Parts: sequence; structure tokens; C-alpha cells
Amino acid sequence: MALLDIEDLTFVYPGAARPALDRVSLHVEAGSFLCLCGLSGSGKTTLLRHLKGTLAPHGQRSGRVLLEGRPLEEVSAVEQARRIGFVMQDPTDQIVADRMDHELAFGLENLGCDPRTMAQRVAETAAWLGLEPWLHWPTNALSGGQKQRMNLAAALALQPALLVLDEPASALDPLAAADFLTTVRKANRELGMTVLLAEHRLEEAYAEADQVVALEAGRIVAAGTPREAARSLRRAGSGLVRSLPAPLRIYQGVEQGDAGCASAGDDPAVTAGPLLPPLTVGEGRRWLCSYAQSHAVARRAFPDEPPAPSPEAIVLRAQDLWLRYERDGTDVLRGASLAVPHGAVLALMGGNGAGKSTLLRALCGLERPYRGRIEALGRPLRAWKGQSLFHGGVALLPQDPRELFVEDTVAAELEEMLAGPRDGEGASATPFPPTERLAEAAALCGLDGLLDRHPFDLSCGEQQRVALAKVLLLDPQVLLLDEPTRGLDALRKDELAALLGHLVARGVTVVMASHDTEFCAQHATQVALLFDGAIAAIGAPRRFFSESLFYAPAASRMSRGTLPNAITPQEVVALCRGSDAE
Amino acid sequence: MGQAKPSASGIPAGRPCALGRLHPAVALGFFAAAIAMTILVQGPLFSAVALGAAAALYRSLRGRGAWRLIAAMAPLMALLTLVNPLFNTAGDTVLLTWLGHPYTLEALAAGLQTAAMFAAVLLWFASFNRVLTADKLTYLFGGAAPALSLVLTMTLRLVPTYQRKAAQIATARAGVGKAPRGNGLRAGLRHGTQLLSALGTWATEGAVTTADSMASRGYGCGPRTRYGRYPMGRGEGAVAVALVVLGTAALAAILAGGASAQFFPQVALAPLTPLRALGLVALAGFLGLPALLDAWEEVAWRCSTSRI
Repeated sequence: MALLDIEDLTFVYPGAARPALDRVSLHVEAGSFLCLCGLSGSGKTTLLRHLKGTLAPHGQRSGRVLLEGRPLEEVSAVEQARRIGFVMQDPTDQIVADRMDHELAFGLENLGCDPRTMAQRVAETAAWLGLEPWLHWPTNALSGGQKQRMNLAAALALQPALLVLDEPASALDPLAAADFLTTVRKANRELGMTVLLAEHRLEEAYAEADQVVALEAGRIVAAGTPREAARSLRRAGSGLVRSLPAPLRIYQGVEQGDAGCASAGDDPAVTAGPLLPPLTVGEGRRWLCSYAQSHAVARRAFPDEPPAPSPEAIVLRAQDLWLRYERDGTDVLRGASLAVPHGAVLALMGGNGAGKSTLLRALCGLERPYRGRIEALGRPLRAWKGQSLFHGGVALLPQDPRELFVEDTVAAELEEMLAGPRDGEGASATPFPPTERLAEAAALCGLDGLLDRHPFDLSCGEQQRVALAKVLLLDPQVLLLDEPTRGLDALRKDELAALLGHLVARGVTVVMASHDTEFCAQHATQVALLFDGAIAAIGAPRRFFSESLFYAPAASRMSRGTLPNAITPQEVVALCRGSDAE
Repeated sequence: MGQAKPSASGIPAGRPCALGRLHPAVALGFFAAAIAMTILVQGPLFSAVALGAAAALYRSLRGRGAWRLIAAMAPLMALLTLVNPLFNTAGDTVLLTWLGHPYTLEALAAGLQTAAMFAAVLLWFASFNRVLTADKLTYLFGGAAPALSLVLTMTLRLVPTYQRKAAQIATARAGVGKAPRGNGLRAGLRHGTQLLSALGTWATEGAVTTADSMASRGYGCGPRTRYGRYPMGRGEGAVAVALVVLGTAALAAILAGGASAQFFPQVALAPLTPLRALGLVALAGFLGLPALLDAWEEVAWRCSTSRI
């Protein structure tokens, strides 16, 4: 008897044409780590919410959910609360109490736990998760990563049998996300906690899981160990293949090729190869070394990108910026200087709190450095009066696109942006009549079917496209993006990249703060590393990433030593297959 | 933006303070008595003591950041003082005649008295918020009204959350050229309405998640228990006893009429009778004790660090 059995679960939301879950069956053994993967909107959240009576959505449902052989409806609410821990996506909205220790105690209070046991549970949970330094802090003062660890602790304090996590890391930056997933893995290995984790960002979670179940449009399309599931996904031609960890994707690209879908099962390299398909960068290196010994690999170096253009073409220039938020605080920017050439896609990388967002805000005048000069489009920032800089000049897309939304429909959101600048303001004249511009921006960002929807009802990727469309209606020459790929699955990232490519072709310059090395390696023309409040290194992505170890994409880390300077999975695959395709 | 980051001193909102170490019930009693006495006392000396003690406690709880609020009390008091004679025309000494109404010195004095009381009460409440944090209030009222105290905690947490969110939305919108334009009332109103509507949407979204998170951790399943331990040592006990003694004495003296004053028809300063003197000393002792203990601790700490 498994800890959790889902038998033939089918669920249809009221008024929906097709089921959100279609005959889903899965079994979770006690102590296992199951990763439920799928693109946004594939039904992951709907499935997870059925595992808790109080969270189950309303609609038409058939099939059974069994906890240790008992139908979930027969398990009392108290027992469900105690035995099934649930952590959701948004780190902040889940919090109930105003201090961390009270948040950890909240569930225990609800279950009528006695004060002595409660104190012990809070103490041991906080100590085990390393939360002691923040125990008395107001929950508002914690970072996103700390909040999510606290939410995990609040669930663990009840000592549940099953831990259900619904995209817990998707609102976190990659470092905090990796840290969080490590903690979940530790809870699974050391405490024997049974974990059911839904994710669309699979770089870390996929390799850690014992079992993978892939959902597509509410149906299970692959299940098994990570390697088995990857093979079935590949064979089924699923779009999820794009989300797999880079070593697996490279392996699949090299060993199976584009025509390998049909015969993958019989491929001797898969069934009888000396090494198993690699899941991690380390395994990937070993596999690539052994592959390069037995196959003709083109060990050719890719040429460096063309040198930086002449200084006249600089559209944004910051010189020696110093900035701090509090009088007695520390400097966030300490002499940062940056010059962005026309038509560039400049990626700003750096650790948490390195000041990437601050620098972006300073570049468009939203933060005021106490020292330094900023020139936008050839004029000092001070010379741009009122809102003139933002009309046809520079625009900033915030990390959370929802911060831009004030209207009830997408169409109203776009129209709001057409209330143009007053006479004499603005860097450029409006090129088209308003309605045409609106239609053009909506079409460019793929919003055609969404114009009547409420912006908050859209998916993460759709919200970002609405926000981008709003920004594009300002007709900016320089687009500043703060973590544009956060929370996006591989498919949405490709869409974003295509959109950015289109804008760059129209002469827009892009500066983006990002943690996403793979996205930057593929789409940036320049990479800058912000460290200690200043630009510590800047260069073309190939040179930057092949010289860096910590800020390199997985493909580069995996192939260095074997291949000279490949930085994307496509390049590694191309070289391994000996083809000359760029 | 910067406020979200805790300062290097550790816990963002809490300086160590004598009142904070007492059992929440004692602290609650102190503030209730202090506010009641501040409202009851009259006369320049008593009001000055109450205002001074309120400011001193707030200063010792907030550190240098306290001066902003304390300084803001001056214009507020000036306004209240100057406005009072417009409504109260009693008093013998007419300073000027305003639209046929006398503007009297006595009403001005009474206004100052009220203003001092008002400012002191505001400062007491500001300190109250610092000492009786939501967790303590929940602890105090959690037994009697669990649902109410939880709602209270959540509301208290939401205020700073929404303040921060509003600031983020305003910044984000300024980044697309939607900062409030000009200083006009209409522009400001439109900007404010949009911000409020956006905040409303956030709040609704957030509330659904919070409710789910509470339900999934068994809220409403059965009787709740309370988390929180506030043990009092001997030192804390002594402070509590001293507060009770001084407070009782001050209250007795005030109720016996020891802190009354006369403003109309003429301001008459009462002579310092033994009863008044006792009342004044007890009041100063009671209201000032927490700030005094903090100051003493600060001195002791400086001495001990100077030896390291």
C-alpha cells in the first residue's frame, strides 16, 4: 500500500470544454521524492489541490484519492492538516503571522498542541532549517528565499507524512531556488519526508527526484525514473523536452539526433552504453569526455563576437554612480560605470542584492545616485523634464509585471498607455495613429485572444506579454528589463526571446538584469557582472561565459576541457555531431 | 525601498526595552494607566510631565528615528493651541476681536493644555505599537477571542505590506512614465485612485492565498492553543511592583483633585500643596520609570563595553 494513491482522477472545471485532469493515476511510496513536471497550465496545481480536502477546486470530478488506502474524504480535516503539508508558490501571501516563530507555531496552535510540545517543535524545526537568526524577525523583513524556507518550516513543524510543494521556487531567483530545493531534498533524504513537488523549471529538481511524472494538458505523458521519463518525453515529441536539464538535452541531441525519436528505444547507446544518460553537469562532463574519445568531435572554436561599436553609438551611459538608500546604510552602488551601445542586448548579472535592480532604476531616474552622471540618448538625465524620458526614450519593465496593472481588462491596460505626453514632451513623435499602434503592439506580443480578460487572471507568461505590450506602446529606444525570465517555462522563454529579437531588429536597445545564464548566453550581445556595487567584468557572452566558472551556463561548464568555447546546448550538439551548423 | 532591509543592529523593529521584557499584561496595564492619567491631569506642570515622559519613552524605544515624530508634535500643538480660541470665547483677557468674537488668552492657555494632552496621547500610542507587538496582543486576547486576535494580527501585518506594495507599484508605474504628473489635485486624485484599485486587486489575490494557507494548516478545525512564553524574573517582578505602587499613588492623587487646574474666567495657578506635590512626584515616577530604566541600562551597557 502506497502512502498516496491517485486512481483515475478526472476533473472538469465548471463550464470548461475539456477536462483539466484526464484519468490521472499515480502512486507515491512513503519516503520517495516525486517531481511532477509540466508547462504552465498543464494541470499541476489542479492535481495537487486535490490532495487536500480544503483546497480541492469545485467542479465535476471522478476517480479517487487515497491516503494510506483510505479515501481522502474519510480522513478528518484535523488529520489532513497534520499529515499533509502544503507549500504554495507565492512566498508572501502564504504568511499569516507577523513574526517568524509565530508563523512556525500557527499550525500547531490550530491543532490545539500543548505549549511545551509547541515550543519544542518550533525550536527543532527552526534549528534544523537554520532559521534561528531570523526567529524573532517580523515576517515582512525577510527576503523571498527566507520567507519560502519559513513556509517550508511551518509545514514541517506539523511533522507531516506527505509534503506537497506547488512550484515553490518559481518566484525565487535561481540561487535561492537551488537553496530551497536542496533543503527539500535534505528533508526527503534525512527525515524520510515523502515529497511531491510540482515544477516547470527542471534544472535542479529533475535530477534530484526519484520519480518523475510529466503532465501535458491534464494527461500523464511520461512517468518513471528521471532517465526513463526523459526518454519517453523525447519519444513522444513533447514540448517538455526543452525544459529538461541541459546535460540531458545535449545527450539526447547528440545520441539520438533529430531523427532519433522513432528508434530511441533501440539505440544501443541508450540501452547498453557505457554511461547512463547524464542528469547533472558532472555526469555530463564524464559522458562528453568518453563520447569525444570514441567519436569524431569537431573541436573547433567559435569566433568571438565583433568588437564593441564606436563611442558615438552609446545610447545609455552611466559614470561613477554611488547610491545608498539610508543615510547610515551601506552603499548599494559604489562607482558603477556602464556604457550601452545602440542595438545591444546587454545582460546584467550578479548575485542577490548586488544592486542590479537598483542600477536599472537609477538608469531611468527612478533612484537618485548621490554621485555620478547618467546620460540617456545623448542628454544628461536631468535634462529630461517631467515624464519626457519615458515617451519614446527609456522604459523599465519591473520584475513582477503585475505591478504595472491598474485596469480591469487587458484592452484598458493598453489604452491607458496611449494617453500620450503633453505638447513638447517626449523624445520622438508618435509614428502611427493610436488605434493602429495598439493593434500592432497587441499582435506583436500575441495578446489577440486576451484583450477582454482581467490581467490578474492571466498566466505568468501572458501577464509579462501584456506588460511588455504596455511598455512598447511608449515606443522606447532603450528597454530596461528586470529579471524577464523569472517564473517562465522554457516555451515562454523562447517566445520572449523571439519578441526581443524582433525589437532589436527594429533598433531597440535592451538592458536586462538576469540570473538566467542560459538565456543570456543565447540572446545577449554583451554581459556585465555587477559585484560590490560596480561593474567587475564586461564582455561578449562567449568570452565572458567561457572564462567564468560560477556564472557559466550548464552547457559551457559541461563542455569545457573537451570543446573550446561552446556555451549553448545547440553549439555542443553541433560540434559533437561534427556538423558545421552554427 | 530601503526600509525592507533590516539594519545592521539585528532585529529590525525591536530595541531592547524594559517594558518589552515585562509580561504583556503588565505593559498593557501601563499604557492604559498612562493614557488615562494623561487625559485626566490638568495644569502646566502635570501636562509637561506627561508630555515629557511620553516623548522620553518613545525616544528610548525608537532611538534617533524618534525625533521625526516628536518634532512633528510642535506644529500640531501650535495649530491646536491657536485654533482653540476660535471656538472657545470664554475668558477675561481679550487679545483681539475676530469677526466680533473675542480671542482670549485663557482660551489660548486651555488650548495649549489640550494640545499637550493630545500630543502626549499620540506619543503613548506610538510607543504602545512598539512594545505591544501583534504577537503580544494575540497572546493577551488569544484566549478570550481567538478569531478576533488573529484578524487583528493579520490586519496589523497587512498595513506595512500594502504600504510597501503601494510604493512598488508607484515606482513600477513611474518607470513607464506614469508618475503623478504635476501637483494638481486632479492628477493626484487620479493617480491615487489607480493605485488604490491596483492595491485592491493585489489584496484580493493575496487574501485567497492566505485563506488557503490557513485552511491547509488546520485553521478552524477545533480549539486553538496559544504560542508564546513571557516568563518574568525577579528584576521584572520588582519593576512591575514599582509600577503598580507609583501608579496607584499617582492615580489616587489625581482622583483626589491633586491635578486640577483653572483656566476660566482667568488662569489661576494652584499652589503646590502636599497632595499636588505627591501627585506630581508619583506621576513623574510612574510615567518616567520605563524610560529611566532604559537609560540606566544604556549607561550600564556603555560602562561594560568600555571595559572590553
